[in-house]
Amino acid sequence: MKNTSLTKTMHPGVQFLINNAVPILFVTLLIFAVPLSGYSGGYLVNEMITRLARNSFLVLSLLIPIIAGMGMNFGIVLGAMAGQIGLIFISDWQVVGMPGMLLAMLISTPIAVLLGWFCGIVLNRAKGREMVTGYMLGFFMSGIYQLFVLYGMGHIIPISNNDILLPRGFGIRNAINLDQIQGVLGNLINVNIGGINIPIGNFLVIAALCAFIVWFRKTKLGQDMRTVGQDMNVARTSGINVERTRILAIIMSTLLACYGQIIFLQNIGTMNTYNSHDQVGLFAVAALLVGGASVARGSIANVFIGTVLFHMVFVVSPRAGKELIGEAQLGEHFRVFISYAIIALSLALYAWRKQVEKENERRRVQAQNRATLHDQNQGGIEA
Amino acid sequence: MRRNLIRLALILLLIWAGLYLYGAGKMHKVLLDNKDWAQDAVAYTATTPYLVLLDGEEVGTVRVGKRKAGEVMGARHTIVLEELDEDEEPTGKKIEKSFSLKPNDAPVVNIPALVGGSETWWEMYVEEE
Repeated sequence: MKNTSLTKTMHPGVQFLINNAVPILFVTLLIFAVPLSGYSGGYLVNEMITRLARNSFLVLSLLIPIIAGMGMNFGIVLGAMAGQIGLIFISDWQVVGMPGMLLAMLISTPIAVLLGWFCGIVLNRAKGREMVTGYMLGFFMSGIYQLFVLYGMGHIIPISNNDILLPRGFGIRNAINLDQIQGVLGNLINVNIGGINIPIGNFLVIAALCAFIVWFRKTKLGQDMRTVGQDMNVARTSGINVERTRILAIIMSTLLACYGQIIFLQNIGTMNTYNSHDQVGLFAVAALLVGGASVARGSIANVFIGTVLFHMVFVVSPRAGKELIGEAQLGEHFRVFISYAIIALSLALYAWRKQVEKENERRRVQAQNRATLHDQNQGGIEA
Repeated sequence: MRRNLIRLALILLLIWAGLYLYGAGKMHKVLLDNKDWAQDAVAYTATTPYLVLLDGEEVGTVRVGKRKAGEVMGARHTIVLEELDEDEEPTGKKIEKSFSLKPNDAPVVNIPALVGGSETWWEMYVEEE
């Protein structure tokens, strides 16, 4: 098939700028913000390593639905909720350390699979509008989750640990202390090089997931997902069960997000029962987009570049805001503004790129038709 | 049929893994009493303070007539008692014991009974009404 993308129609330099507009914008922003913040290089490196270890797993969970052509899976919020339910149970049962974290993963696995399956079914009914549907689904499930945790726990599901139970006797407290599992993964193997703390345990798990994604892309299911992502009709004609493949992609993403949220919260050491999952989808999607991914393509490199750039802005913006205007709060607002703005910018760029590609394709076909018509006319005259 | 068997085996494996992790990670609160205790007509008297270590972690000094609490994770544990003199300096006398707990056990260890060689040197904690 002839490549009709922008690479064929524009100067390579312009093409590079358009394809990497978001990362370039972020790097430019950081060039100004980092010196303004006054943070030392060592501090920033330490922060970035911590945040990479904490967030990469969640961002990686977005890759599989992109392969299947479902865009950014905002439905990872559902997985995050499942992970939090697992953490609530281990806090109630007082299961601690590495077994506690693994048990939380085990408990939340069926919940995540069920939620992923539900999400997949809904997204199959909203083909072409997966992202907005996933986003709304997150809000919907958040309500169900709150109902379940606020009224179901203690009433229907027995909770014996008074430390996590609201004083009225049912419902879970707003904040749960995860001290007993805090840093278990990072502390498994922890290396300190020149004052920079590297949680090798976390990175091993992330590396394993990267290896899994690379391997998975080569499997039959991975190839099926790619085919579905490129053209659903072609996939269907080739005998691929499109709906099932799409559901599997979402289940896998939700399950990985569930584990990602557990890894994230065990690293932080505290869980905001009713809010921790709220921004998970937004921040993970924003980080991936900042890394240069788009709705239709995303790679492991995008995950790491995006996580570093996005979180670097997170770290430096409050201080930079304070130095610049004298208001640290400005930096806080700036973070949220940046997240939404990046998503909007990336989506707009993607839509624009698609439109240009369509226009180029239309022109190409028109030119081809004209040439064919011309050839036919020439043939007729000669005859 | 074969596929269902594999699925069943997987579910059973996951249940077993869950139970194993629950047992291995369950946290127990261990209360350490250095108080006089009587059992089966045998009385054990608290006379000296002890430095207590649970699974190698120092819990602290339990003075005569006092209670301290420690936490342990899992099923099998060791308790080490280091006898202290009046100035709370180690006398060099050490006692080490191993014990196993079931998932819902909350033991109260009686130090004089343990030192005195009692078979039942810990009992389940019962909340006072």
